[in-house]
Amino acid sequence: MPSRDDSNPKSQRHLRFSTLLLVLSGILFLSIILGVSLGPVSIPINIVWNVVAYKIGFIPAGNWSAGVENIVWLIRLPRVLLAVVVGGGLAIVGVTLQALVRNPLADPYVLGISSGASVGAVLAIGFGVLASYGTLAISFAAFLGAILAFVLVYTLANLGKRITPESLILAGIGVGYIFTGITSYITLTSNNRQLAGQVLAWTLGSLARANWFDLSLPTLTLLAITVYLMLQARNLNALIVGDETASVLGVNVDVFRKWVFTLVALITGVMVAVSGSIGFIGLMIPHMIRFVVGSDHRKVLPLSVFVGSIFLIWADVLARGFHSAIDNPIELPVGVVTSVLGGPFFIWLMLKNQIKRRAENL
Amino acid sequence: MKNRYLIALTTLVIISLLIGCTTPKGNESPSTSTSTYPVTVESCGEPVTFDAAPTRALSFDTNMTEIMLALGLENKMVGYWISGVPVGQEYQEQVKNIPLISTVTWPPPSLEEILNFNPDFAFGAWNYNFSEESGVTPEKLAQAGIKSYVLTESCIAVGIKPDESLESTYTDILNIGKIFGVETRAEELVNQMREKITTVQAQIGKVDTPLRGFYYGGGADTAFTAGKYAMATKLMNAVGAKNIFGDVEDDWIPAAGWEKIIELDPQFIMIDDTPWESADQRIKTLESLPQLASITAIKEKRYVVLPWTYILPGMEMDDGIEALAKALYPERFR
Repeated sequence: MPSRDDSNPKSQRHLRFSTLLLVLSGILFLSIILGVSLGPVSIPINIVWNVVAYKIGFIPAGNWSAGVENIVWLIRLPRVLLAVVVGGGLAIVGVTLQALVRNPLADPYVLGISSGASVGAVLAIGFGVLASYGTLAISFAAFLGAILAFVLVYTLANLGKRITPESLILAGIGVGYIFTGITSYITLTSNNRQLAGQVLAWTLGSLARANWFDLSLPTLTLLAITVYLMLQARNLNALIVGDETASVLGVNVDVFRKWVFTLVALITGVMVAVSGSIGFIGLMIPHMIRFVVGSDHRKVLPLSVFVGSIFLIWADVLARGFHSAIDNPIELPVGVVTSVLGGPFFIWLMLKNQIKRRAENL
Repeated sequence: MKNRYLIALTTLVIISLLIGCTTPKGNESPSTSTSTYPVTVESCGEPVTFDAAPTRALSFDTNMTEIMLALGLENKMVGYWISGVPVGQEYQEQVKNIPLISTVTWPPPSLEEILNFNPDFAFGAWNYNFSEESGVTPEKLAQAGIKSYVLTESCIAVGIKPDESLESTYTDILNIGKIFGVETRAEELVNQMREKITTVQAQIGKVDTPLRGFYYGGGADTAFTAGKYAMATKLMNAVGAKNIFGDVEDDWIPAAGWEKIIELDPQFIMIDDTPWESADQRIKTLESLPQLASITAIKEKRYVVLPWTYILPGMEMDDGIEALAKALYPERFR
């Protein structure tokens, strides 16, 4: 529950929030700059930004190799921008879902959406389903799989004519198990020896597929969803207290839940289709934000987007550049980095919070 | 009188002994054992002792099977398995009457399927047919009384540091020869391969600047490629070329990021053609990634396509070196 701190008048809290927002924007901007400048190949920072400026049209072509130009413009910049969008998207989805089902353990994947996406992905990777779409086949198939899972979960959760937090979670987990089972079955009985490895890599999530074309849809979706959810922030606050309380406060709980669930499923589908199921962000970033500013969604929503973006940018820098430490060009799936990095960091934050609460309760 | 008979008899005996013990030149008859049993060989660092040549052998995958067949051991085999590529034309006659352990090319045969053949010997490799996940391991087979020999290059899977040269393949062939008592044949085969490789290298002649090569085994987000200890790298080294990742302390690198590959700019790309992903598909993937457009090998479409068996430790290793040499230095092989 948010602590009602009367020693902290509203104007001060308001100031604290806007400074936080400002600081985070600064860190995000810096992270983007550094994320594009850093990588397994050392490129002088001025060359990196000259390439960007040239490609945008500000300056004429300079003295760099086609390889360097491609690395900066076709690999790094799209990846960093995708990290911003996916990181922010997963975080805001996590916040929303945790409110929607009143469960702090909810994340974008508990609703079976990513399991559906992985079935689509395995069919495209292993059996060439939708091959006519070329390099977009996997993303498109994953998105369709996500939609299929969503429809199933929605229908099952709504069998009682109302979607409750319990029905949503149970339906999501049930459908998730089914689809994960299907994916595993296909993968392990396939006589394509590469399939298991490829599907695992896809599932763990990667930003390697970032390209300028693939950025447009996730960016638009993220912007639209963030704006919408910001407008619904008070309703989310009410929902967290309880369904009855929310009703009394004027929220049409069932309609609201159904509508928000649909939007969240859509954006999750888009994110997972483009980058696989990157873990940790949707689950933990919301908690991290709440440790610092409490549970008011008017604050938590925008801050989560920023922190999610920053976190994923750096996770991807590590995933790409990890090799430099061990002199092996291997690139990690970013989902591995988010979990390995995020887990200890989250535990540290949680312990800090526990210690603070203990001190307050003494 | 008695002395002359004695001398004649002794001479006769000595001559028969000499005839009996002389090994004939040419093809070694598989039933003539020249090993003194028991023999002990090292399989992934573990000693394995054989009191006699195995008579119910299984071989797993194309290259292992070809080694057995090249040594003329088909009469000692009760089964074999391939992961998709049949044994070479020259071995088809020998393998005709040997049943397949499993007609499924992937996953590899299960423990049950193997035990069903009641074998006494298995020649396989880690990540070909042996794996911890599947439960089919040399230890498990040993518990069932089946001795195994594991391909040396695959021992990296159990932590044995491999070698950077082609010697480990020769060692494997010689060890199988030792196990089955056909050492002479094994030595012949190894010498033939060494000679062929030396001839090819002589024809290549002097290489001023090694060509930069890259082995591509598929992948779009990242590339499956080869490090120092992989056969693909050894082939490149043998023809005076250099794998851009030839210094990486690994055998196969499952997921290399593209940035480094773009920077190191390979001049040719070695691709193996496999039943599970054709070389054409792999080339198509490479050419579909716009960020790779600056790579010399892709701009010039300098792809060296080799059959899968050419980049494996086995009888086709020398064919691989020859094919790579002809592809990289066509003017020296006219």
